[in-house]
Amino acid sequence: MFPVDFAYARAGSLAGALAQLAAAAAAGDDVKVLAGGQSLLPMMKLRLAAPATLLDIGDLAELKGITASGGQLRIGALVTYRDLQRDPRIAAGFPAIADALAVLADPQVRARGTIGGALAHGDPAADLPPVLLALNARVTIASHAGTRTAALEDFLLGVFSTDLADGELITAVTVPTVSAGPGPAGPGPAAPGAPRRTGQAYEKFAHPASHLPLAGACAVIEAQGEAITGARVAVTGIAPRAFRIALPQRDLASRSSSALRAELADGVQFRGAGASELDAVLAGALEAAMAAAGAEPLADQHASGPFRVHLAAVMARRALARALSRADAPAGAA
Amino acid sequence: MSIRGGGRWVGTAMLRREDPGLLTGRGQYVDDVDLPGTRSGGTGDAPPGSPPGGPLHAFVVRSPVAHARIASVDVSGARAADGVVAVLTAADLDAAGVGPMPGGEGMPAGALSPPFPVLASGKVVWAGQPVALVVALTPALAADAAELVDVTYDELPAVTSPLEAAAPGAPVLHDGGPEGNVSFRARLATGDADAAFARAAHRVRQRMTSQRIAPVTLEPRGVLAWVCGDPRADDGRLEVRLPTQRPHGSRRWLAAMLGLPPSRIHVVAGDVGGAFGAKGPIYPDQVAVIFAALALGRPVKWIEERGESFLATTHGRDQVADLEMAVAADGRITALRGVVHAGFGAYFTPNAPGSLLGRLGPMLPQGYRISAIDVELVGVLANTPPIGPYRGAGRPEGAYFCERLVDLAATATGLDPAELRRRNFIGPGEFPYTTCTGLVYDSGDYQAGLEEMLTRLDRASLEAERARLAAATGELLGVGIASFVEPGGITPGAGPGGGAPDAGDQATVTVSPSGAVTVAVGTSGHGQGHETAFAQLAADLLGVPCEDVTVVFGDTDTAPFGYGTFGSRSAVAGGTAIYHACQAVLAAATRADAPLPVAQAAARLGGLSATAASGAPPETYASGSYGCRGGRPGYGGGASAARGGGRRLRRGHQPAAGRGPGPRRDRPGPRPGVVRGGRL
Repeated sequence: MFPVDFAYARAGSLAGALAQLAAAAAAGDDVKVLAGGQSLLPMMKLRLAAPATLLDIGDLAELKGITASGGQLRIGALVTYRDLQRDPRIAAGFPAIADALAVLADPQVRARGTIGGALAHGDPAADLPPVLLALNARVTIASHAGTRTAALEDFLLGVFSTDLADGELITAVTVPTVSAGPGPAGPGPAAPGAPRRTGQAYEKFAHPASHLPLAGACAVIEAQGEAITGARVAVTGIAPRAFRIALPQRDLASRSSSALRAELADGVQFRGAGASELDAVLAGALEAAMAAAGAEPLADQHASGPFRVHLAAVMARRALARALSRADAPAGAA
Repeated sequence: MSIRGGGRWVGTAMLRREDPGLLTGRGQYVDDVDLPGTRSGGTGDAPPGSPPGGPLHAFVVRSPVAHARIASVDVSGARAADGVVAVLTAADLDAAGVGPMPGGEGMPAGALSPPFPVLASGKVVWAGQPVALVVALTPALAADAAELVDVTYDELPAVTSPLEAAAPGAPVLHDGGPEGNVSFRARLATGDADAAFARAAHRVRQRMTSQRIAPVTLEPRGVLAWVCGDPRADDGRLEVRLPTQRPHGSRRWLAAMLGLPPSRIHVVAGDVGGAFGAKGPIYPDQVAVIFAALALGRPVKWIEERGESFLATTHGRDQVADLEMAVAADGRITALRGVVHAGFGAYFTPNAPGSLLGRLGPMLPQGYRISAIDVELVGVLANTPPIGPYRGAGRPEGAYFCERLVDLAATATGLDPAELRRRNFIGPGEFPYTTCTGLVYDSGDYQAGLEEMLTRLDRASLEAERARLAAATGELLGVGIASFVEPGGITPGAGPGGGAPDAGDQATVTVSPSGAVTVAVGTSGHGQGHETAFAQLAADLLGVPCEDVTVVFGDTDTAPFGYGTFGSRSAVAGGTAIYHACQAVLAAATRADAPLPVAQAAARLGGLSATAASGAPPETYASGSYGCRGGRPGYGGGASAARGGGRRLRRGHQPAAGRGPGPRRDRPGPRPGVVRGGRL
C-alpha cells in the first residue's frame, strides 16, 4: 500500500489552481487534482494510478458551500458527503440524495469524499451519479480559458472517463430545486386543479464489503391527482457509466397512481411466482438504453452482467415504489 | 477439579483486564515495535534517509498466476534500485540451506506432502506464492524496487476446486504422487454400513459444500526479526517478533529451517490482533524476512498488506461432501457413508490435515447414536493458497453436513425434525460414549439442550403464525433447528492414532515474597481474554485476589513450553497445567508450616514457584441446539431472539436483539432470530 513517489502542490486560489493545471496541460505533465482523495489515494496505494504530481485543491473557498438561488441548488465541488448529509435543504428537498448518502461508503469516506471528486472520478458504480442524473443535474467546469457547464448526462462518458479535459476542474454541481418538467414518460392525463406532487428515492443492492452498488437506481416521480405526469429513472453499477432509462409513456402514464402503487407494492411483497408486467417494462427499458449506447453490462466475480441488470430492474421498481409513497405522503413526511 | 475459596473468581463476570490497553491504542502489535531489543539499528552505518535506529523493510514479490513454470528471475534491476539492501530469491535460500517449510502434522502414511519452498523455485503453484524478497530502507522503496524484479512465467493450466483437482486429467501441481493431486485417501469405517443401507427404510443423500473462505484478521500478519550478536556462535540470538498462535512451535520450525539450535531463537508473539487459525502456521514470507535479518545482521520488518491477506494467508474450509444417511422406518439413523473431498491448497501447513482427519471426519456422527459409518476422506492439493484451520477447523463443517442429512431424513420419514433428533440423540445415561468414529464423548445431555431451545423458540405459536401468514399474505415463515457436538482441548500427538501422549503444555506459577503471583503459561492468546481467565483460575486455586495475579505467555523466554492456542484448547491444556502448578505451589506452602495463606508462606520462604505440565488431558465435548425463525419486525413482542438464561451457551454468539425497537424498515421482511439451549 505504498504509492509510487509523487510531488505534492497545494493551490491557494482557484485562479492559481487553474493556471497550474493549464501549465501542466501545456507541458504534458501528469497532474491529478486531489479533492477528498477517497478514490484517488487508494488507487495510488494499489499502484493503479501513479500521477507525477497531486494538486491539492482543499483550500479553495470558491469550491465550497451550498447556495440556493434562481430555482436551483448550487453545490460546490468540494462539498463533502457529510456536508450534504447535514444540510437541511438536502434532507427536505432531495430525499433521493439523502437516501444515497445514507448508504454511501462509510463514515470516514463520507467525511472526506466530495461531490466534485466523485463525478470527476467517473466510477461506474458510484451512488451519486444516478441520483444527480435523475435530478437533471448540471456540472460547472472551469479552466484557465473560462467556465462552461454541461449536463451530467453528457459529462459522464465511461469507466473512469468523463468530459473533463486536461486543465479543467469541476467547480460546482447544480440541481434544479423544482421539477424540470415532464420526464421521458411525458405528460399523462393530468387532472387540472389537483395538487402536483413529486417524490424521489434511491435504492441499491450493495456489495457487503465495499458498499458499492452491484446495482442502484434512482427514481423521481411526478403525479397530479390519479395521474402519473412524469417519471425519471437512472441506474448505476451495471454499465460503464450511470445512465437514464426511458420509460415508454404508455407504461407509466397509462397507469393511474393507485394502479401503479398496487403493482409496485405487489412486486415489493415478492408475491406471485412470475415477475410483474412492470418488471418486464423496467428490464426492457434498461436493455434498450444499454443497447442504444452500445454498452455491455459490467460483470465481475461479484455479479454477472445479466444478474446486475436484473438487480437494477428490481432496484428501479423499489425506487419507484418509494418515490411514489413519498409523493403520496403528506408534506414533510419522508 | 476442586476450586479453593469457593470459586470466587471463576465464573464471575468481570471486565477483561487486557482490554483497556488494547482499546485505547496502547497495544504493542508487531508493527508498533520500532526499535528492537538491544541493537540500535545502526545510526552510524545507516545510509542517508533511513530512519534512525529503525529496521529495514521487506516487500514480497508474489506470483501473479496460479500455476506456472518460472522461466527466469532477474533481480539485477531491483538490486540496483534506490535504497535496496538485498533482494533474495530461492537461489539465495538454497545456498544457505534454508527450508523447506514445515509440512502437515499427522499426515496419513504414504500421503503426498510435497516440500514447501520458502521462495518459489522452478514453479509457482498459487497466485500469491512468494518468489522474491526485496529488503530496502523504507517500505516504499522496497515496493518500488519490487516492480523491477523481472520474473518470466510460462503459465500452466490451473485447478482450484477440490473436486476438479481430484478428477482424472486435472493439471497436476506436484510430481511424485500416486494419484495426481490426491494426497491421501483416509477411510473411516466401523460396522457394516452397506448392510445397514441395504436394510434401510429411507436413504437420503446430498452434496454439500463448505466453500473456501479467507480469514482476515484486524492486525495483518507480519514479522520483525533481528540478531543480537551472532546466533550461529555461542553468544548470539535471533530475535523474532511474530504474531503467532504457536510461539514455541514457530521456534522449533525456525530452528529446523535455519539450522540453528532452538535455544538461539527467541520468539515473542506480543499482542496479536486476531488469528482465527490463520496465525497458527509460520509462513514462507515470514521465514524469508527472518532469514534476511540473520543474513544481513540487521533488523528487518515486514507487514502484510491487506490485499496479501487474501493471497498469502491460509484460506479455510474448502470441502465438498457427498454423503448419505440410512434411516430405519422408525426414524433411527443406522449408518452414514460417502466421501468428503477437502482442498488443502498448494501445500500442506502444519495444522491443516487435522481439520479434516481429526475434526471434520470423526465428528460426522455428531450427537447421534450411529453404529455404522463408511466415509472416505480425500485430501486434495489445488492451485489455491494453502488451506489452514479456520474457526472450528472442521467442526462446523462436520456439524453442517450431518445436520443437513438429519433434516433430509426428517423430510423423508415425515417426522418432525426435533423428534427425529430426539430419537437419535445419545442418551444422558450413555456417557462416556464411544462414537463409531472412535471418539469418547465425556458427558452431555443433548435432549435437555434441544428441549430448552424448543421451549424458547415457542414452536407452537410459531406454527400458528406460520399458518396465519401463509393464509393472509402468502409469506413464508422459516423455522430451522440444528444441534451440534464439538470437541475442545486437543493436544497434538495425543488422541486416536496420534502417537503417544506427551507432557503437553506447561505452566509456571510463581508467588513472590510480596505475594504477587505470576502465571506463565505455554498456551498463547491472541485476543480471547486469556490474561483475565487464567488470572481468575489461579486466584481461585491459590486463594488470592485476582488483581494479584499477572499472566504472561507468548514469549519463548518467559513462558514455558506450550503447543499454542488453537482448537479450543487453551482452557483445557493451559488451564490444566496452571491447575497442577498451583497445586504444587500449595503443597510447597503447606510443607512450610501450613495451613498458611499462599502469600504468607511465600513471604516466609522468600517466594514459591512450581512448573507443571498438563499431560494430555482428555478432550471435552461441548454441545447445544440452535433454533432460528423468520418473522416480522415487532413479531413476538419486538424481539425475535431470546437471550440465553441459566444455560447460556457461547456468550459471543448472543444476538444483539431485544433491545427495543430496531431501525425503521421500509419493507416488511424476514428478520431472523436465533435461540439456543444446551449446556457445556
